[in-house]
Amino acid sequence: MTALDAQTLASVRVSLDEVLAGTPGDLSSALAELGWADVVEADRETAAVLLFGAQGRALASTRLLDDVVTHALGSPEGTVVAYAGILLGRPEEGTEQVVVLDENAAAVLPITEVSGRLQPVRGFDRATTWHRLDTTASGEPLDVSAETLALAVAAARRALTAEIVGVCETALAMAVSHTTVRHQYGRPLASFQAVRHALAEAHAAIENTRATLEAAAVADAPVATVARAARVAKHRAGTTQALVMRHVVQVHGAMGLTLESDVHRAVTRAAALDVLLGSSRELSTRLGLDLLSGAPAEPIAAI
Amino acid sequence: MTTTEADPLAAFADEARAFLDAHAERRSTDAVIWGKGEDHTGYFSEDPPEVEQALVDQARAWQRTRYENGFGWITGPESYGGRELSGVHDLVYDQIEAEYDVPDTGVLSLIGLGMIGPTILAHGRDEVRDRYLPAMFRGEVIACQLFSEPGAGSDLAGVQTRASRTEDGWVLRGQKVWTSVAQHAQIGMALCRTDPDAPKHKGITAFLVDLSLPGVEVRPLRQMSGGAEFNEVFLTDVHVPDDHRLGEVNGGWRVALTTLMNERASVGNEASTGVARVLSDGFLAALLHESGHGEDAAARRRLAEITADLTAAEYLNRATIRRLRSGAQPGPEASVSKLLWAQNLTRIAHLAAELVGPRLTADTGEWGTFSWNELLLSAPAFRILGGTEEIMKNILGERVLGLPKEPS
Ligand SMILES: Cc1cc2nc3c(=O)[nH]c(=O)nc-3n(C[C@H](O)[C@H](O)[C@H](O)COP(=O)(O)OP(=O)(O)OC[C@H]3O[C@@H](n4cnc5c(N)ncnc54)[C@H](O)[C@@H]3O)c2cc1C
Repeated sequence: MTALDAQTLASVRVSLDEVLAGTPGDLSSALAELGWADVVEADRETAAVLLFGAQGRALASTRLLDDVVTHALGSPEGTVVAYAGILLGRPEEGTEQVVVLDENAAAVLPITEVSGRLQPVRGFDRATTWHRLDTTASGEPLDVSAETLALAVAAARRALTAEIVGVCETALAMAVSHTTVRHQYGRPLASFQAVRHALAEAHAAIENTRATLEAAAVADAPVATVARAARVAKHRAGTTQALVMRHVVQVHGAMGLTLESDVHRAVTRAAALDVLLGSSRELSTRLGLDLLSGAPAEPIAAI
Repeated sequence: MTTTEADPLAAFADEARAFLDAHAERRSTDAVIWGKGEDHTGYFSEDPPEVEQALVDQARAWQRTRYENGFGWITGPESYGGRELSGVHDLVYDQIEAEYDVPDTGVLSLIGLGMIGPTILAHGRDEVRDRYLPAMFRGEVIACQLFSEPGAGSDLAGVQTRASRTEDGWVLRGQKVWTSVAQHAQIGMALCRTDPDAPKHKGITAFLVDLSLPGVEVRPLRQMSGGAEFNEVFLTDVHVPDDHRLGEVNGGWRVALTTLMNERASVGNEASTGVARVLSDGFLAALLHESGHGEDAAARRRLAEITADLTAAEYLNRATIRRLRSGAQPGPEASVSKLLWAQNLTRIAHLAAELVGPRLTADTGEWGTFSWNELLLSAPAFRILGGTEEIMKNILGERVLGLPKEPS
């Protein structure tokens, strides 16, 4: 449920896609021009889903996730976040501290202790600006309640889920257009049933994850419920991206393996996002343990 | 939700609780106790006929009680005994009712009230609506779906059952098959060929057939899972009055689409008692413990994955139902629900089979072991009924993703 009507949502979505596909350097002024603060004011959760969906579709790499976390933790201006050891970019001028966030603990380090310990991440997603903080940097425990921490992690997981869904949408759109345009045996690839069925399966997985995300975005549920719902959503996002990318790469043939096509950008981005704040594999281990210790799996009775 | 919406809804919820408190017991909220109560996991009834009949009678009686108290057709027109309330009210009622121990009304509701009812409302003449709609929603008339034929399954527009004009109506001749609940039904919605020379989608007409008419014969078909829920229905010179026609002459395909769209939406959401229980996470967790796999990390992860998928599917259904019940027409997205529902149940059946091992195949009397064979043997049906998995994917590819057509 949102305070924003369908028409506003649709037009915000279009504007956001334009902004995020544009110059990421100017992101905050572009968002300000859009009146983004008002949208956030009206409905923070929906705003996050929209924003991160657009970021995913654009395959953009920004530090917007830090805003979600610092807002939830009530951190002062000038705070950036390390997700376990990962920072989403090199801290800008004026950054004062780094919060190191984990599922069960958060610590804080002054920026002076961080600067010399950052390395650009040279993972397979070369388009990110991510940096790694070396593991000797431990810091002081952050003074927040366990509940605040759990809500911050949950909010970040929902944002990441929205982003992964966005990346998957873009990948599927690439596959739809490639298989419609390319012909073999005198027919579009997409007229072969094995190809159509792979894409239909990808679509079903994406829609299912989107519905899970919508349901996980509940404000007034107990903290444990909110946390579990976000875990389920992020877990599903991880399994969904694995399935979607497998099919999308396959239907591109050799084209999908090269840097000439954009497919690799979606594949590597989705895989990178999967590992932030718990991969689908880690989350399923945790969910399984919870389940066997009697925690109900059904998070929320949303109507 | 805004306050203006919330208040009447809260009043409605109170009204529903008061009704249910007066007519039913609350369901026990205890955690699942392994080894207690029924261990059925099946989708299809396997009861002997007298037991099955008793369950159908209970279903009818409960539907009547709902109807008499204003909960029989919450979204239906007042002129047919409905309340003309929103789909959200309907959902609220379903959720509240789930807290109570009430008879399973699937035999009436899944096909009759869920698929044929909306079709009659959209395409029936007044005579037919007046006669059948209140009776259906009162639980007196059970409806079945006479669509599939030996020669027309996925390619439903290939139906060959003929309907020929007579002076005052039509005479039907042909055979239907896989007709669920026909053994309990009073009426059936039949798709018949009325113009053999027209292109196949344009020569079909839909009729409502009174199954007590001379010439109608229902023969049960037994399934490998044990029960006999669906049937062959033979139509031998059955005279149907013209006012029992649904929609236009040769316009039956449009009418059928109304039914099929409602079918996909309701199948993915269906919870027959055995299956609903299997789907509860407590039951699955207990299975893992009891089968000695509580410490098995791989099994635990698979269980978690299945449970997360079930939760996700549930949300998708609710989103779809919300859309449908707020007046949107059912669309091809319902195929997503149907697809996932079948996949999830199939995975559960296979996980259970692995966990209980050889005990699956021999009835040793041990609770919660052999009983999983019911789900395992029902599971293949989920990928077939209501449109096969392959057909769902065809629909999604063509109608949702807009892929180029397959050559025909
Ligand atoms: C439990 C159950 C209850 C049912 N209840 C009813 C009922 O009440 N009323 C009713 O009318 N019907 C009912 N049905 C019938 C059901 O709708 C049909 O079984 C279904 O539509 C498939 O038709 P078929 O069995 O003839 O299979 P076929 O159409 O012969 O298909 C066989 C296989 O071929 C595949 N196939 C067919 N066409 C294509 C294609 N174009 N592309 C790719 N693959 C294809 C199918 O996916 C399937 O795997 C029921 C079925 C079941 C299992």
